[in-house]
Amino acid sequence: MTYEKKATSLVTQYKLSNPSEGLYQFATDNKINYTIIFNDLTCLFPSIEERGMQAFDFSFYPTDKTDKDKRAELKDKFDPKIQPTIQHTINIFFLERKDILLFVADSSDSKHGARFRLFGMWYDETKLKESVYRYKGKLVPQDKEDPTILYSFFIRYDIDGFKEICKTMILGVKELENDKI
Amino acid sequence: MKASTEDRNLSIYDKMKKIVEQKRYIRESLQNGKSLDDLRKEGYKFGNPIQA
Repeated sequence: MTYEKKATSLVTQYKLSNPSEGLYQFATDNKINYTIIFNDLTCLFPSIEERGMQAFDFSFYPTDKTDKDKRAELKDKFDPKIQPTIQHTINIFFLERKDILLFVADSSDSKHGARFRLFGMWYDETKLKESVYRYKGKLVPQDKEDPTILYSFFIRYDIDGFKEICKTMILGVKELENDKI
Repeated sequence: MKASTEDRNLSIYDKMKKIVEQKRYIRESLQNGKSLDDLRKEGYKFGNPIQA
């Protein structure tokens, strides 16, 4: 193995690009492009807005929907660099900002439980746990036809009004224990 | 579908439901060739919170 190849194999995460305002992307070794979006939802949370903070919903997915087929072909090829790429992105967010990050699991394909557990596991495996609180909630609808919603919010412990902000983001929602869904 | 200040008094469930619907719409729109600027014109807001 040449030095160059050796060096490449030691890279543990993908390089994130920011091609336009609000758009983050990375390309995997298997040539699947991913998009990362921070959807600004501050307008839904007046107590956060009043403090001059922002609330973002975090999403990532293959940029091109045809990449779904490519991913299916590669299903046995676990890509070890995706997890650290996402972890790095979240780390940077909390290093640079004192805002709220939401992760609301998309339930459109009924894989929201797996998605929620995976994202939680990625958080658990970082040092973020020491400085960033994760609340995990399960929202059961009154109407059985509506979906059950799994959500997390992340907030730095050192934010002024930490407890008050958490209260407004919970409002009686029962916290999940051990990601039990 | 788009979240707005009019939705701030919704219950947590309804807020999160709205976020899920919005998330899905944004994903499908981007995967179908819309740009973030197209979505901004529709009123969606995106942050650029980190230095890549």
